[in-house]
Amino acid sequence: MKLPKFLKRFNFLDIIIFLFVTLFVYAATSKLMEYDLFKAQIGKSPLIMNHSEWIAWMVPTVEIAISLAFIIPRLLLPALYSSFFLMFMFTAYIAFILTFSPYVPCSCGGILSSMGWTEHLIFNIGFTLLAVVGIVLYNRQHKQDHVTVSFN
Amino acid sequence: MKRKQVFILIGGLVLSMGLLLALYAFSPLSKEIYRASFNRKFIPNPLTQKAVMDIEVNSFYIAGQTEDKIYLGNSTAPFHLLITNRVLTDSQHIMLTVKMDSIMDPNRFRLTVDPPYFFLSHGVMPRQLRGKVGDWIAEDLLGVNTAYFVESLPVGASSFVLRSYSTSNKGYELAKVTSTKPFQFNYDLLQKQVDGLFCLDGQLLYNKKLAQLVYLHYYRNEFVVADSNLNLVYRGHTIDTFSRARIKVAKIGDGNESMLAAPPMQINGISCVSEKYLLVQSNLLANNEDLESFENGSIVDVYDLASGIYSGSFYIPRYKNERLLDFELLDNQMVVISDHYLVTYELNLNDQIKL
Repeated sequence: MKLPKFLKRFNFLDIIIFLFVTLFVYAATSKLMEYDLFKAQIGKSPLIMNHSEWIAWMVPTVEIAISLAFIIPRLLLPALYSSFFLMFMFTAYIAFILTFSPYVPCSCGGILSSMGWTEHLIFNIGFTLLAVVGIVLYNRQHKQDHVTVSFN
Repeated sequence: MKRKQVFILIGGLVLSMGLLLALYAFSPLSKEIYRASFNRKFIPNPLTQKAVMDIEVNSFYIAGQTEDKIYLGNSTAPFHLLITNRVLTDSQHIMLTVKMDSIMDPNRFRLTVDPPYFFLSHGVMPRQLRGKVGDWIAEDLLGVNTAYFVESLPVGASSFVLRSYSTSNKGYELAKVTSTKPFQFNYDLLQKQVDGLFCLDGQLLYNKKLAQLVYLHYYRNEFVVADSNLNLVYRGHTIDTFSRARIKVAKIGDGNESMLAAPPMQINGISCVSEKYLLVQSNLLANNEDLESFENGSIVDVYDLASGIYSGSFYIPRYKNERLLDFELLDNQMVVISDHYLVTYELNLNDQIKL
């Protein structure tokens, strides 16, 4: 897999990290700032209902934890994996609600709430794939590092 | 990508799906539909379909009807009125003229047609407009002498019954306002159970022939019957046993805002009154009811309004498998809106129900 030339000027992996940290910090803050609202909203989801208490604090906690892992170089790969799983889970959740729920409740915070559910689904799929790209890029850079080391 | 990494990814996918499936398994979606403990008396085949009209959009609601006409209002085009004859062979689209300097949030207008007048009510401006059927020009009737309301029902040429928020009681109450008498709450009719807002949600209905109001609760098995001056006649009960509203309400922020925090248990759905009967579409499956029939139609429970006693039940079939949106009954003529279809039926209850 070769990157197009114009992309080589950027470190694409850094951009991905930046996007994920921005997304998670923003999503977590908007949830925590309106914690009561968020909890009530997810409680209306037929999948969550009685679990709203712990899910309401766990989701932003996990988001912040992943953001922190992203800025610690040693934890970069686990952070990418975790982002992938989290985004995949969100995606699967939305797909599930859209397909099976008799009604569609709303629970996304801040500017994300202006997105429709289908747009949100595409947005999430995009970020899920971005995490995979991040893992691939990480491998490549890691290999380069390794090669440099072996030359010395 | 290394093989190990692919394994981690796939393992993670399976794990995330597992977590979702666990949520699903513990959610009400995977449970069998709740079967209530009461029994229904099924009235065999009381409905005879008469006519159908494709009204193209699903935003129409029944704004009124007379012996020869059906009037439909439109919730997304609030000044658009559709008139049909009773056999649904002829229709007429009318744009209402509204004489107002400024209008905010026009989709909040609700139309009621009760010849010789028609009414447009707006609970947030708040305004009560009235016009003559035929002219179709709506003018402000009460000026600012009305209060904010969530629901309004004309009960005469210039009187209205409202459901409004009472700051002293911190909840919804019924109230009356007319062109000559100021806005006046009656605090005896609605009884708070949980929060005074969601727990009192329901529908106001007006029985013109008997000049009686019916307030049907959505979340408890009660309907309140009162005269048009808001004097209590009696409290009736629907056949289920849900005497307390099963809702969960959350306070948001500083406590001035509240919202539902779980899907509410709404027992009573769409409803209407005729001269003799209260018809309630119920969301509960009865003990002696066939699940398939319940899912393929809308079950309607019939109550005798003179006594408040349950008379029997029948299904409104799902026309072309579309969902039921609204229905009204005039004598034995039933008008039903199923998504974008207007369907008329003849309803024969009198022969079937032995009181």
